[in-house]
Amino acid sequence: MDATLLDAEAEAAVLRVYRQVFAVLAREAGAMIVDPELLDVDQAILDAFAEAGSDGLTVEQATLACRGYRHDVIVRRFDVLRQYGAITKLVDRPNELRHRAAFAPYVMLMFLKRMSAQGGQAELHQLLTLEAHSVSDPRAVAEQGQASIERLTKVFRLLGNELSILVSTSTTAQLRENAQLAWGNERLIEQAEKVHRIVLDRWPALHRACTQLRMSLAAYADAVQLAAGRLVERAGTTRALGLLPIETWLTFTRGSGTEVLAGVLDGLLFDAAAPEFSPEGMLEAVESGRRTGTARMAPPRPSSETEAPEPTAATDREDLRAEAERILAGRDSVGIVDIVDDSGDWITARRVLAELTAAHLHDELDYELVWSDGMRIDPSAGTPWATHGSFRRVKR
Amino acid sequence: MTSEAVETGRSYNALWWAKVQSAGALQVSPDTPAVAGLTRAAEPDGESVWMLPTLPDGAGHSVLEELGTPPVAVEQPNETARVLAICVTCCWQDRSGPAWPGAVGTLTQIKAVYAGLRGRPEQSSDLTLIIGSLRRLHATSWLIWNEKAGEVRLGPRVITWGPSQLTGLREICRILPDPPRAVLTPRGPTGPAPDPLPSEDATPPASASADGDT
Repeated sequence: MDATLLDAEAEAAVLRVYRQVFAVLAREAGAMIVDPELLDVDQAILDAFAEAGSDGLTVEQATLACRGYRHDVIVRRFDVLRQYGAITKLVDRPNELRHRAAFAPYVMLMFLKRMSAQGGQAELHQLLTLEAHSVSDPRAVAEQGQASIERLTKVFRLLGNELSILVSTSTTAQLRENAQLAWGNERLIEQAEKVHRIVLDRWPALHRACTQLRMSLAAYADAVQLAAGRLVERAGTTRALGLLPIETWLTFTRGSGTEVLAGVLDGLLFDAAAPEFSPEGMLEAVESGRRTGTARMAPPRPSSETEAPEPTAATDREDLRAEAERILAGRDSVGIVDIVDDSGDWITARRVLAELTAAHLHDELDYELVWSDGMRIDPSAGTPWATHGSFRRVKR
Repeated sequence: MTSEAVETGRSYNALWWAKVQSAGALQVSPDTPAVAGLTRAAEPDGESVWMLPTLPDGAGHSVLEELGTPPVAVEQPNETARVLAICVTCCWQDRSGPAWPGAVGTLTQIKAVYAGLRGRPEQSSDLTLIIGSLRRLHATSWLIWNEKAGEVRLGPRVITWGPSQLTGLREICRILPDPPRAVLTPRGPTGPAPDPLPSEDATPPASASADGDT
């Protein structure tokens, strides 16, 4: 069972990379690859061409050579391969029946299988080494350096983008499957930086392209860190205890029989089912107990408004009365100009006037603020302009 | 019993594990051989020993939460947790040492601390809540509650509290009002011995298991 599972996984991986690369071509050719078998069909067809030698093959010969597969499947794949140029007519004339295969698609196929097995990291390392080699070549010119830098920039942007999209949108399981994107990133970045250094030393004029490369490298490093952070965070205590991820357990329990399940639990001791009281929980309970104990809890309400409108109204009223009495100082009426001048500057006077206005408007307080015509203008006063008027008690 | 244990150590372990997994902490006689994976909590008088599963570091109910499994529910969880906290204040007198075995506390003390926690005089309704919580905690070995004598001790389960949890408990003891100092033990010199305590509930399983092994 293990073997088949692994096989299926490997096939799926090949398929995934293959699909990414050929999706566009295949869609145009009307034949998306939807089955790992089709890859084998392709390979079988190309194998048949390799056997056939320089004479090439007709469609019929090819299907005969690939007897292991269904006839119509072979014919369809043959068409697809022909449409994207992997197989071409031996001589380009209308009724030519014999075909030859190009070697490039086969190399591509091998390359893809290898890449999917190793996640493309090895190829990227080789690419980086090659780039470093070519930019250090004494015959290299600035254009080559620039092209090389731009290629690397794109590679790392794609890597970083894919990873950060995965981090922000996918489930942890998906992220874990794609962890290959994050493997060996330090070595990769180091190598890319080496290329970057060589190019920048040789052709300082390329600093703009180099900046782009640096940015894409930094973005990739960030994405790796985010992904690693998410994986670690999700792993949590289960990782600390050396346990498998939850998903694995769920799959296992669904797919296993009684014997297998019992075998896993053999040697594990469980506590009897009992409620747990952690000190934190007890502390919380004690705290909440204290709160409910001291006063009856008000029904839940937004806390900012629970500060009782009634008492504040009462204290407001008393505050206003005290302020008004302080201003009146035993008199029945006080002129506004006096109040303003007593206050000193306008900032204070403004506050006092606001309170007197409030006292005037308060329905339970017997004070009024009466404005009259005319204005006092005195440049030497704290508030040079002041309207006449008076603040006084109301007789009821 | 020992020869049988030596003969079939594996099945001996399995038997004990099955007992502990189904019944929780077990009280056994002190000459019971050690069982792998079980912690022994000796009674202060040395007459008997409690056996309960050893929790590895980091394993606990936090793992259950992480796995999305609901913990075992308890009636009135807050009330029960409060009473357990109060019992810790009353019974854990040497705060620098482990909580097990602790001292004997009385219902009077618990009621006093409870009222202090609530910030009001004692009420008759408190007693219903407190007794209910004590019974629940006794049933799950968090406390050993002797209802006839009105005395309580910390249960064997508290032996699993590690240093970090004891720090949290010290904080609780600091917040809670101090229990009245005089521990009213109605009995004489035989008072501190907790033998009679588990005689109603805890001894039957112990004796039954002893019977089963001999």
